[in-house]
Amino acid sequence: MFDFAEFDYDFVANRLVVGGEPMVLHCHHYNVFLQRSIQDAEYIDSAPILVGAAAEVAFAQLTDLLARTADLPARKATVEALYRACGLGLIDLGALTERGGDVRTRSTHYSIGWKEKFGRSGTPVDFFSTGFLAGALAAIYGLPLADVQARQTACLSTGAAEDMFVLGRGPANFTIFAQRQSPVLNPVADDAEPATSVDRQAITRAVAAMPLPVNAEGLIAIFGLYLTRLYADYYNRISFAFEREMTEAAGRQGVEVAADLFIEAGHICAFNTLGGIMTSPEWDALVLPMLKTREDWFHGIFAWWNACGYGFAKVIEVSATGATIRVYNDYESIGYRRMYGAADHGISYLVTGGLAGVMNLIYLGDIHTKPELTPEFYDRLFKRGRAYQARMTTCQAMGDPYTEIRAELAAAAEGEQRLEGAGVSA
Amino acid sequence: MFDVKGVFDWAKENGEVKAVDRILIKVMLLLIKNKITLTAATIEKMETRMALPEELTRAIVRAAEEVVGKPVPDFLPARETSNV
Repeated sequence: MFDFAEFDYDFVANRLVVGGEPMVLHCHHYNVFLQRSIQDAEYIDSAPILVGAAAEVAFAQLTDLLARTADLPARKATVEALYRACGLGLIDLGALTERGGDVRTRSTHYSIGWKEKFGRSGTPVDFFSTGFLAGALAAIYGLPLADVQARQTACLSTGAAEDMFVLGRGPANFTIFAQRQSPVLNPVADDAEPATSVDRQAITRAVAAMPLPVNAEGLIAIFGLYLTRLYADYYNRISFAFEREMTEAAGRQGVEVAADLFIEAGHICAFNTLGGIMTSPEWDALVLPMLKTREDWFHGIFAWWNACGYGFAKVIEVSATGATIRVYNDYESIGYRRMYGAADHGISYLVTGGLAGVMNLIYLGDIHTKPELTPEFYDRLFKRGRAYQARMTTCQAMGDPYTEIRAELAAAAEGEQRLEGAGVSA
Repeated sequence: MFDVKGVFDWAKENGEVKAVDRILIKVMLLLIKNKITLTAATIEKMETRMALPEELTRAIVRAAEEVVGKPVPDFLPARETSNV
């Protein structure tokens, strides 16, 4: 069994680091929407990026975690248990050898999550597991990552009875990225936050200690969705490597449309995950008794958010007019700087979309009435009329001391067309 | 002249919230090739008549159908703007 509770949550930076890799919580909505947004640019060969990004983080983490486990069966068992604890599904590495082997499973988060959200796919979709298994093969047997190959040959999302991954030896058939620099964290300042009756620290500590229920299929079915605890630098790598390819292919125009989709991914994440949290029995038990105003709901959900490994969010201002948050050490900025140095534009897309999503839930969606968070509800809220939009006003990846996001109600365009997305700071 | 705005409007109505952005990212290389700048915001403000190369309009229709998951209605590509 793999237990994340054995790893201390860093309440100074609001991070969970396991085997050297920062881990964050994301739902299947975010995971597959982000992946599909990348795959939509069919002129970019994204498969090697998607697989390579997973291989990179899995290899690094597992090499660290397995360092004191010499026994081969125990090494495999640790990997299987970790995969399951992450909510990724079930894998059996019993047949794996140093030469590779086949891994079959009837349960993976990405395949099941994709089919749940988008319906059947024409082609396999679980690039994450493909890369994870490549990294695992290399880590288990002490091989160079550049000497393993992995591909997915069958996928539940296409209607197949199982996922099948074929692992082997040879020059890597995925991108091997340059080594990341060590992470640099900024000090968290003692910003003045608006008064609230919400005990934010208590919420963050309670949520960070809350175990996530993994079911018999190795999935975390909670808050009306499938949740995962995955690698911050997986998300960072796929987003930023793709963004760099888009810059080469399509310049600024390409980057801006990609940014809008990445921000929308954050918005969808907030709507479904944070919305699911705010309508959950866990929220009712822990947070609801503290809430008197909509602003309290905002404080409460960001206290919860602070337990998810994304960074340290401080509420600077919140009302029906708009909100400003400062995030110290947002995982996107930390990862970007590790991988690519200083950014020349704002890249904290998740938290940008996330802030807009929270404002929309609380002030437009009346989340306190516990609406059903269906696709139809989403369309009704966001296809017509005004909605909150968010934009970065500073970004830690650019060298600022923190990432600051401002959300405001967007002016209604003529004909009541909703405007979504955010202007990215340059 | 082909009414491409109608296709975008149809996609927005029948597809997901970000249907237009998804179409744009799919046809981005053709936009670049033809030196055309199109964003979701400019499309909203777009007049119904906009001259686009046939290759690009075909790609937009194809992308819209992929994004929405059904064929663009026959009346949309057939719509001709009046020259009066």
